[in-house]
Amino acid sequence: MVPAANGSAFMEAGKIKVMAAVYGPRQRPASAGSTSSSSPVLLCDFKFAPFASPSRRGYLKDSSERAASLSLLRALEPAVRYEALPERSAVDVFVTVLEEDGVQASVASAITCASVALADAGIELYDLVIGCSAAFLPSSPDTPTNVLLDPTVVESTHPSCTGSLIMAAMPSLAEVAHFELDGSVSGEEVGESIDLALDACASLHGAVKAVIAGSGSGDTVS
Amino acid sequence: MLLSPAEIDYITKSCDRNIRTDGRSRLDLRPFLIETGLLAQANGSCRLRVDATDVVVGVKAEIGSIVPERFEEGAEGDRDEDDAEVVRDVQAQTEDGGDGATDRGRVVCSVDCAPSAAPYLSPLALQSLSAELSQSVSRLLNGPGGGLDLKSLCIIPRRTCWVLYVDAMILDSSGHLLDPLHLAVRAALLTTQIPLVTVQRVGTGALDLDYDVSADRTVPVNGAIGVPVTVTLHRVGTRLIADPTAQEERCATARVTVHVDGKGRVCGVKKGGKGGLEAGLVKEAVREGRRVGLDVVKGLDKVLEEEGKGQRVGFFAA
Repeated sequence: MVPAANGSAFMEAGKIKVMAAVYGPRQRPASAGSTSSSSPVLLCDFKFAPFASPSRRGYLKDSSERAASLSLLRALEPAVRYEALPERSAVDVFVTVLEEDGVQASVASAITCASVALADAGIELYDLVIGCSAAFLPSSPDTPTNVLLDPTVVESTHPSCTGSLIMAAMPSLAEVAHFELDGSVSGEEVGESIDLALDACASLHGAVKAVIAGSGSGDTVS
Repeated sequence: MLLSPAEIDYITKSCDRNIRTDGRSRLDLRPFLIETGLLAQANGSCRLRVDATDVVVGVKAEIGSIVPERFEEGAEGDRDEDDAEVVRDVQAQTEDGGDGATDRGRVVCSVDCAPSAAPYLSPLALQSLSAELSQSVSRLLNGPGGGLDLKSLCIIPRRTCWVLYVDAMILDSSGHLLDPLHLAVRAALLTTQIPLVTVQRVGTGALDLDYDVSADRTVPVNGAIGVPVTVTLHRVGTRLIADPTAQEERCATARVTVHVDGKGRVCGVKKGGKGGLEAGLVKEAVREGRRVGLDVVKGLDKVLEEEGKGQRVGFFAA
């Protein structure tokens, strides 16, 4: 996707279009973290393109993008084999969302896309990190559950939506890399949503793995 | 703080056996000492101590504009991105069809970690810790699970509202800071009294309204009782522990923060830490966090209820 980068990936999920580029490992910039420690660092940068949303976004990161950058870092960190990276090095992950469809779903896609780009760059990972989002909407006769996986922007900003979550899982290890939930939901709903989101991550995992095996020749997976 | 491999091993193994270094079992909390109403200049205040952790929270209520004033003048050059975001949010909500979604007050949070709270951190790291803590409080209180009735803080629709400034100082720390911080913020908001405001009509137009701030009558903040408390469970070894000491926190590989309100609703969950976490442990964390959180809410409400009757210990009490 990005020839200048060490690794890159592009992903479309419904309306969402995300691209990720990974540079490194390269020398750690002086600005990154404390200089006393020699351990390698992962630097994540999440940005919506100015034309990604119905209303224009500025070039500087706003607070939702800063929060998303942090979520991305938290999601990828558990998968990276830091000990395999050189000392005092940094790996930069740049994710640009070209078209969004709900912030949570965009961040979830960004996580998946970034982990593929990391793998493409040859950064050693314990497992691919697969992102998944969900929204809590009161059930109706045709939806037996309150949990809606991979919500669109209409669903995740619906007035009756009581909460939303982002899950990042490492399915081969059966571990959760990152999880965040906002809103006000009951304890049972949380438990149910964790199970559903984990299943979704596991089913995506195989498809994403197949793309990497085919070395990203633009395969369409369902 | 540095721990030797032997110390880490000792702490990890003792957590697995459900006896922690200070004699607690895994989900026991340390007792906390709380006092409210000790800052005369603030509308609500609280000081909370857990072991060496020392948090002071002051809530000041000020009357502000629903859309910050500088946008109305439209000075493009002065806007920074945060402000532009507020404008976008406000515009987005106005476009909803004017159902009053913008007619709400807001909470502005800042957390300041005194250098004495974490002497081992560099000034830069201290700043990012403070930023992370204030972001957590701000996100919770302004978000959908914050509990506060922000609409009731609106004075004149589309124009004037109360702005609650929640300022916390962390003077000393021993262990995880998020839980005591959120607890102190809840206690401060519960005891906050804002002046009573009456709105009068001064003309015939829809916005020809004026307001009058009462000098002596005050009201509590609506919905403060619904503000969640926070329980963070840390994974040490293969098990989860609540309310870790500073040493135990260093041994944790991952943590799950759970916000719970008095009705037992989960108002937010966030995983932190560098390591992964088994799916079963995430569910266990939410379940146990909810249970422990409910006990904390009950405990705090009881303490605040009895506080008026007991003898006040004062700011400088040990």
